[in-house]
Amino acid sequence: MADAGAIAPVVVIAYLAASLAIGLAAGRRGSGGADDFVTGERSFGPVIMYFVMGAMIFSAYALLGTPQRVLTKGSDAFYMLAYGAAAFVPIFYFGARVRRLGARLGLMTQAELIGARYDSRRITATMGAASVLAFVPYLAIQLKGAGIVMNLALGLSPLVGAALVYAVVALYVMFGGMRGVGWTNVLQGVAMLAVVWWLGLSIPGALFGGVAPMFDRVVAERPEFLTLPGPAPGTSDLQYTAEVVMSTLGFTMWPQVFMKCFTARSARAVQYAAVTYPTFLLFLVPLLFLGYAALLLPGAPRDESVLLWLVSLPQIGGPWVFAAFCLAVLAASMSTGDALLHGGASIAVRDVLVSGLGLPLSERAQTRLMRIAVLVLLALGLGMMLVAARVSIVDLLLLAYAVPVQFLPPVMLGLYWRRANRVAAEAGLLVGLAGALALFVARLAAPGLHALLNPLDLQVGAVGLALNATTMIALSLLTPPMAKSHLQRFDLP
Amino acid sequence: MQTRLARLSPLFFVATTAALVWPLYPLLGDHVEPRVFGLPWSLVYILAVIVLNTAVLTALFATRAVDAAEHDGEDRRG
Repeated sequence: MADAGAIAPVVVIAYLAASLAIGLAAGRRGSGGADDFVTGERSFGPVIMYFVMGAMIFSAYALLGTPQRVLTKGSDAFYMLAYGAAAFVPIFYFGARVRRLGARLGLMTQAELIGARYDSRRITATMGAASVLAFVPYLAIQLKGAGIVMNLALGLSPLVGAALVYAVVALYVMFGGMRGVGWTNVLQGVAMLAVVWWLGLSIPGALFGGVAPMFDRVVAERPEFLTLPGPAPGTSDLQYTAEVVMSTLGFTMWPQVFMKCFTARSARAVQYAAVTYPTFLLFLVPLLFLGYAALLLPGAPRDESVLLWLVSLPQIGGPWVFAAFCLAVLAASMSTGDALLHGGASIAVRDVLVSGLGLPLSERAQTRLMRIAVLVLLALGLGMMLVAARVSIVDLLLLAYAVPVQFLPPVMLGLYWRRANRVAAEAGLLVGLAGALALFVARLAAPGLHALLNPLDLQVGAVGLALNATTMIALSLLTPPMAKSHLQRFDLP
Repeated sequence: MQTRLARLSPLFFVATTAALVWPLYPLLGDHVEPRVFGLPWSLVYILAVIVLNTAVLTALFATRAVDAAEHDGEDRRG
């Protein structure tokens, strides 16, 4: 990697400068109000929607973690492809209506829409606060990815490196708003797709003479890595099924994903993003190839540095490969991190302060506060990265992933079932979130109690979802629906 | 006809998702052979479901079967 010294820093710095320039330039086109900051004044056409949705979802965690998962768990790593197969389909169905309701009623976030449907500020505030809390560990993972790259490319400490990359992200989010996020996602999406496909196909070619010969060797030498349960301890069919089902259900409920429906220029543009999304999803395939390539080589590390180890091998390494790898990781980290900073800041101000606490803030004041909230969130993320040695981010991610799936009953029943009402949605959400949190705490602090309460060791989010949906459906049937005139505003007959 | 098709279409995606998990995936998909272009069947099977889902979604989009009405003065270029 000695010769990597010259090229990677130049590529990284040029890329950061380009992101900043594009993000800031995009932001100059809008009015500067809250609607401009949060939704880009609902102006995005199909091309930007495609990159906004696709690049946001594939994070540094997917890029660094997918090859690592192949090495440690074998074909269990296919689960991301499996849940991706249908994960975006719900957006195809509800996205058009959400986009239309948002434009008609002036809504900008998921929690605003759901709070309006149930005429409940408590719901908006609860969903908003839970979302922001779930974002922080997710953001910390993106910061960690950026830190690794900056450490290798420029020799900075991971914390300083992450802070530098995210200073750029924070600037284009604060002053570019949603337009800045959207336009930079085009750059980041192209960079990610191009680099990952290039490396994913060229590295098996250089090492084994192609993808097929590489799999011939895997079949001969490590066949247990190609089917479940995989290498010991293994993934059981039920664990794998639970992972796929829960991820499919929760995926479109992530607030930063859901709220992108509001940024589209038309209902068709939202559906178009759902239809074209699988082309982004297939980007996991070359990452799986890279995992299998590493599996066949002696001495591959088993942690998230494996991809980096692979691109630095003398037989394939080279300054350009290394620089391209740095670019791809940064693009993956930034395209997810910017959505989290932008979504988190929008949600903290719109849902928690304006709707939840009822603060009377002008549009300009809201935008100013959102810019401050970007910095606060970034500081929290960096803080979590700093204490990550003591608190496991992976543990916190488990809790974070349990949050969005709790929004599934109030969102889907609210959009499609006229009987769903305020008291049922409030109770269901509370039971689901509290149940998941209680189980999470019990799992860490009192494993015996947890085993008693959750004998099948289901994911905490799954238990919360079951409690939540049961409560909501039962109470909706037992109590009267909301007024007809109110339901008509939400396209419910 | 179109609305009935649209109303039933989510069931197709429920079915393909079921094909990717227990008990159908271990039964139909989770094997090394047959290999296609050298890839193991366990991977090809998942990719085939993704392609199938995308084809059906594209057809629903092209025929404007699902909730495709544009109102409120929406841009029609999208």
